[in-house]
Amino acid sequence: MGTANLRVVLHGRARAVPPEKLPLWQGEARVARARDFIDRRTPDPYSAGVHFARVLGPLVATAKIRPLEGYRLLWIEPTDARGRPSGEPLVAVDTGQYSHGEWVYFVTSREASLPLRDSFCAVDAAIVGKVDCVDLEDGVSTFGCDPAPAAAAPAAADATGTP
Amino acid sequence: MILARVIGSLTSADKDPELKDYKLLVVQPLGLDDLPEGEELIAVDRVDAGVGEKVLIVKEGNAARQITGRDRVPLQAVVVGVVDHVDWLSGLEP
Repeated sequence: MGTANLRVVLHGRARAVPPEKLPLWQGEARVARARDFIDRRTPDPYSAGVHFARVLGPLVATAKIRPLEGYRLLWIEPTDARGRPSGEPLVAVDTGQYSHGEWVYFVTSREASLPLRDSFCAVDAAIVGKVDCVDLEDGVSTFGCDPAPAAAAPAAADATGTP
Repeated sequence: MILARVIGSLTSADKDPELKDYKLLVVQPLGLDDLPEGEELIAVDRVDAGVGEKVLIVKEGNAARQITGRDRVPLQAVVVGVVDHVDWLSGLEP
């Protein structure tokens, strides 16, 4: 029985069998299905850890689950340590009063609900602080992420207005 | 736990009350060949690691809560050791 199945695999005829019909122990299909399973289970590209992000703006949701009432939701765009965008935007709970264009850091997964009143609230990302300054080893200090268009305009007006 | 290098420090006055009085570092996870691998992380320093040092990082929320002794600290990465050197099985050196 075992040898017969093995021969099928060795001759390459197993390709015609849909993967879900194959017995679990058949190596390649098993690995492929495990990988597929893992890929589907982890759509979130952010591994555990606190990451930088730029606040893109608020998201308004009037009907929310009860533990989320009173909390603002913000669109954020993950950045690297130099403020360059590094991933797809996501929605995070605002636990302080952060606003558009600010450079913040956020936690994901289980730890995201800890700053909230209900520490078992169903949230997946929460902003936990605002970045004032990042000093990197190459001597570069960054005091903010890439300026948002709205923030850039007043700066330009100042430069021209100053004699 | 992972190996990482401290690439900088983070100043933040406005942060979650549970994160007050912790020093935050920016760390870059390293692969076996000591080259950067993956996203930079913000980690809390518990061993007085300096910028440029190779460190050991525990990347798990429950461990972070145990190490800091705070139940509700929203943290996922803690620097728990400074790496002096790594021994490789002969033939496996990167």
